[in-house]
Amino acid sequence: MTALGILLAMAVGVGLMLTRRLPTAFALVLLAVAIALIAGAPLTGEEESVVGTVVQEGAPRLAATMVAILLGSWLGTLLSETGIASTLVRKIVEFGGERPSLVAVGIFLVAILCGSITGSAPAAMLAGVVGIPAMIAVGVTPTVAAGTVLVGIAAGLPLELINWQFLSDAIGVPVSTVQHFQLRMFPIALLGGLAYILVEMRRKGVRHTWAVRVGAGAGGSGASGGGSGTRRERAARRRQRRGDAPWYALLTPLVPIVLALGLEIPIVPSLLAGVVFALVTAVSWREMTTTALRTLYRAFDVAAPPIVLFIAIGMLLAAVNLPGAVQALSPIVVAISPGHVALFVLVFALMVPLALYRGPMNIFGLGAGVAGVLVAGGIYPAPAVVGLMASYGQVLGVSDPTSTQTVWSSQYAGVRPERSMLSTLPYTWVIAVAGLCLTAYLYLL
Amino acid sequence: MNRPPTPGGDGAPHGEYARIGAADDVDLAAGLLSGLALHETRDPERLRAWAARALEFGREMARRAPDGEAGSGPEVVEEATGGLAPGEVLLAEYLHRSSGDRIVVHTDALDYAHRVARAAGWERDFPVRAVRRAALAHEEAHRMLHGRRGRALRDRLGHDLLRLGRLRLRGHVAGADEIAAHAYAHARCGLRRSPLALTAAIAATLEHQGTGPGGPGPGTPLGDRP
Repeated sequence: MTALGILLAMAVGVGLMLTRRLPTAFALVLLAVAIALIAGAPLTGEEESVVGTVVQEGAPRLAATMVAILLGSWLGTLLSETGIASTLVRKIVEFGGERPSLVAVGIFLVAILCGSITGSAPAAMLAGVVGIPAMIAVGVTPTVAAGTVLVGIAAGLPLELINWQFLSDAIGVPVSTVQHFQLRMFPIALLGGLAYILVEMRRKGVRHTWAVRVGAGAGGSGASGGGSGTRRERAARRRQRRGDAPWYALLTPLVPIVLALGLEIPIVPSLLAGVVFALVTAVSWREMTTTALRTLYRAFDVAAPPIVLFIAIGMLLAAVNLPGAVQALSPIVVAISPGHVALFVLVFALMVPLALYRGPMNIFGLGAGVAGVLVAGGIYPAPAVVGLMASYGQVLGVSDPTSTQTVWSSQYAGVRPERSMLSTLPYTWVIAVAGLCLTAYLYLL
Repeated sequence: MNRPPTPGGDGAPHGEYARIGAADDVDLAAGLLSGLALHETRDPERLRAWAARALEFGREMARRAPDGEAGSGPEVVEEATGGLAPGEVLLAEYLHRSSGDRIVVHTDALDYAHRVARAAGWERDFPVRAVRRAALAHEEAHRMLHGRRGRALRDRLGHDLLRLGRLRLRGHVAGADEIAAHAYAHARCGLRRSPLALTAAIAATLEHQGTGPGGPGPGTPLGDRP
């Protein structure tokens, strides 16, 4: 009866998110409280209570991830403000402009770097603000231009330090375990992304237009101005004054990942080193402190939405890990979770669409709760749950038309997010299945 | 849907039309280049130099084009819709695919462009049929710029990426092909006024009407990651 109540509450939560009646973060907080109450947790008290365990202890549960997000957003803001990201894109267009496929692959590589620094819409903007109009200007179709940025960011996801910290905190495994899987997932995402670009470029061909578009500069001709905010205008003027970033500053996106992987430096100092490197190499001494402070404050704006979401996910994880919830849900999850390795791959491959539209397998939503139940109930080893959720992450990071980066990239390219989903889903689904096979091979055999 | 401008109405920025009408082609072409985010940090004089060379290249293409080339290339498809979207006017597109090349002309956008021209007082310069011919010629120029001519344009622009002694690596200048295509259409169709002016007038109309930029709409969900 308790399990049925929890499942019903989860279904209502998914409904609220899907229909956008409530923002995801608010829906997850309500869901966490509902699950705790249904599981029999007392409202107050020191031990296993709604207020004490779910709200008070759950909210900062992903604190390390939140700090990493803030630093990643700071670094991302610096990459934008100092012109490092746009310089990278400009060089790629100048080198390969007559070959649209080459430009698309180049911007895909830039998007990987951006995706390894920060996630979501800020990563899409870093690579896409200049990259998407640049691709369209050399003849890449808008759908493929948006898709290229998205598959690039997703290919960078396995190298994103913030993502390592999140999966580590959410699933309760050491960062090294996440790293172990993600480093093996990276080549799969890389090849899948390249396949998307090369196949779709061949299918869709090259497109040149006589078009006028306000603001975005897309199409044959772009009208200038158009709705740019004063802050954006000021930033553009600063970049104009500063010009291209020097070549050595273009190495900035590599600094955190090289430090974390090569020298095994923890995530927060690695990201901070990236910030310092960007400041030292791309900003004059005179402007350094003001630039550092201005971009840090802007980073708070950028980081606010994911931090709010992670506060809510922390509460949800605390709720599904309450003894009453684990006891009630475990038998059901055991019954429906495939035990055989081949069935594991098959069943979870068929469930890939459940990661879309804020569905129940979305790790940045209810999927975090599902992962918590799978681990708490001992259904699969924790590293396998990391692999499962990281595989689904490839789908929702690219193809989910409700993800902010998908919405932003699609609209910026002038196509509907649903069209991006249809264009990319066949590829991301295959990537996810390959990730599931990898998970089964590494942790279930 | 874009509101069509009406002469004297609030959909017509007459001051802007006058400025555009008085501007020369190099100014208009340089303005088009500077509108690309890629050229955000470029020196305006450098953009003007590239614009002038691209215009000259387009005119040369028109002079050297064999008589039969206009309209003798890919299949031309006319579509009555699809040319107007919020914040965007798509007059024509050239699609280069392995299955064959195609030019699509959007008649709703051509009609819109003609009405902008009428509002600007240029109706004799851009009758509907002339706008259609210019659109076809524009896309034809893009087709011609694939391959050898594209490389020749790059060499003409002279944007050096790397220089090692006598060896030079020329860089691609995004948007230059667009300017060359406008210049080609201008010369090829014998228009009295450049399609660059019409393009700038459409852009000014869209700006004036306050059609939002191509960014995330208000429907973008907040608080969601990724």
